[in-house]
Amino acid sequence: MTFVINFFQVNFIPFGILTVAGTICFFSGKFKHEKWYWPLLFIFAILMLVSLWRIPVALTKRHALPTLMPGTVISVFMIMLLPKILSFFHVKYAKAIIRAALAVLLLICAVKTLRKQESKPYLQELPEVIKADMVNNNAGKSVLLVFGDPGGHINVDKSIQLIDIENKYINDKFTNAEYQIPKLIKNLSLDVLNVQYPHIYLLCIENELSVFASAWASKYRNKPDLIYEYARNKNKVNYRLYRVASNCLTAWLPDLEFNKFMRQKNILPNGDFSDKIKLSPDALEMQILSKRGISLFADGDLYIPAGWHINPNSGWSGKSAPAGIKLNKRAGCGNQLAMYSATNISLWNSHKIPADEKYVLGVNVDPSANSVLHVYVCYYNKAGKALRYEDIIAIRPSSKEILPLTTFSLEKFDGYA
Amino acid sequence: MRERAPRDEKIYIQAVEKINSSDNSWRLEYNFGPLMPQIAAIFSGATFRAETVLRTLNMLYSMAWLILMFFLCRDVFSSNNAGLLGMAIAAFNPYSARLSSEILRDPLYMLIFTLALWCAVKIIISNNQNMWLPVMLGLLTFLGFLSRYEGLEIAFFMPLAVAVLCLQYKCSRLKRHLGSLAAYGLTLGILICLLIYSGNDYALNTKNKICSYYHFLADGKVK
Repeated sequence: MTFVINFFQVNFIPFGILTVAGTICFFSGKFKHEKWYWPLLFIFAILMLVSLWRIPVALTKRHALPTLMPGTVISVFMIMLLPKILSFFHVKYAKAIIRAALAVLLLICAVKTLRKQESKPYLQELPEVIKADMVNNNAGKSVLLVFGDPGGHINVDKSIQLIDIENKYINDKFTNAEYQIPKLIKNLSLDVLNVQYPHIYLLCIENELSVFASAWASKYRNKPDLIYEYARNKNKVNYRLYRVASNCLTAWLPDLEFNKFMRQKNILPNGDFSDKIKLSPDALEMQILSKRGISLFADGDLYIPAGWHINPNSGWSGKSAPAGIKLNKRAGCGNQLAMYSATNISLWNSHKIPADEKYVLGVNVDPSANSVLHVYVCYYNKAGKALRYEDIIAIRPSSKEILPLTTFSLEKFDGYA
Repeated sequence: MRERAPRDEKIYIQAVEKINSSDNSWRLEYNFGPLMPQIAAIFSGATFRAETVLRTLNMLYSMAWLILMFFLCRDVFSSNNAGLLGMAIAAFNPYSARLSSEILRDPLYMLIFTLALWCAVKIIISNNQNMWLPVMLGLLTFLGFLSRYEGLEIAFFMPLAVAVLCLQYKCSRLKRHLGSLAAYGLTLGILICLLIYSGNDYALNTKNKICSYYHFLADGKVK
């Protein structure tokens, strides 16, 4: 359905209708003898091609743009066919009528293109309102969730993280709005946002009757405060900005103290790799690697983080470049773990945590080109037998960054992960 | 005119400025086709601002696209009137008019797409007489791919054109059609190999881009 709407928006509705009508007429089978039949058949095939692969994907209007070119050719075909159709119905002055209609259509297109757009002052006012609110409440950073399409870019500075939620308007026509909101933010974790940000700002586009705030409050037990409202005459919609305050102490900590707090409460032993142990060439992992013809001792003594183990059964092969593992001193605290290989390699921590719980995971990365980071959890039963692996993070980081905190829920069963 | 899309425009302007200052970090930072900013970088620099060059080039691409629409419609229907009609519809389309005034990759992609469409139509009309058309189509497929990931769809033009020719002429001159397919494939293959050999990771990122559209194709759901 998204694609159909985009198709008509890109081609402009009257020409979109002409394209559809042209498709129906073409495949009626009456034009096979015409010289233009085969090139036009090719154009139809291209239109089908560019349309079919876009249908299952929820994309914006711009992505339906390639339908414009074949669509225009098919519209020309239909316009050329109209005199014959009108003659069939014995309409007088068919050509003159078509020319007049076309002129009016092109005039409508010109007016639509050149009309003055209604101003949207809320696009400039919203960042200022958020910034002023943050200053009043001594909040160093915040996140803005945008529900729906505000009709332009909201230019926020680096202290405000902007997250676009799916293009859905929450209004009174929505039944069970309190169930719609979690569906829309299903890929976000409000727990993680509450832990990090003192305020979550919610921008929603509603009609005059406000539904969003009560729907949010009934779902999350935290009533949003309305701090800004702009009523737009066109379409009778209201742009409302709400604020939800976090009840987590950590949200109010500056970044350095936040990281220190997370490190103190870290349930993963030696997660910052500060403790290291020397790996002996006689260690079991090294023996397995030796049997595979791989040695990681090219640079002398080998140190790995304490409590972490190399997986020697896959990867680590040299190919065009040697594989290796290094611990480098890091500014601040802890060590930086560098792993390099032409193939997939892994390190695993032997600490076990209870399943049937929700956890927050933070990772700092400094990737080389085309490197991929996976973080897995392995499930064990109480007897210590490994049951299965679950992929928590699978990401291709483009630059040195602190990855956004990830929450993961471990499946409920009588064991550990 | 409609409000501009400042976020996208800023990204392209920054990409051109980074190319001019030999800063390659824009390729990791901005995951889009490199063709448009690279062309703009050739013309901008000390003399012309990046924004001016990008807007001028976009306008030129749009004007060239209109002319191409004339030739495309004229050649499909063998009628100058059809060509003028097609050009008029394209010129008055509100969406394409808006795009020509903004700094986006779309006008360049529309130009390449239409040129590829025209080449394919010429192949059908001429019954594959001219061997340079498949080579040109191979080059346009490559350029389309460089302008947007979706440009890969242009790769289907040549096979579809040959399929239409086979339907039209009941597989006569099959050897010629296979030869033109080979010429097309060779041109495209050489260009893609040159791209990969140059160390550009754009081609390698294509798989991830496709997987981001179709999650069920994702292997390990890499984002």
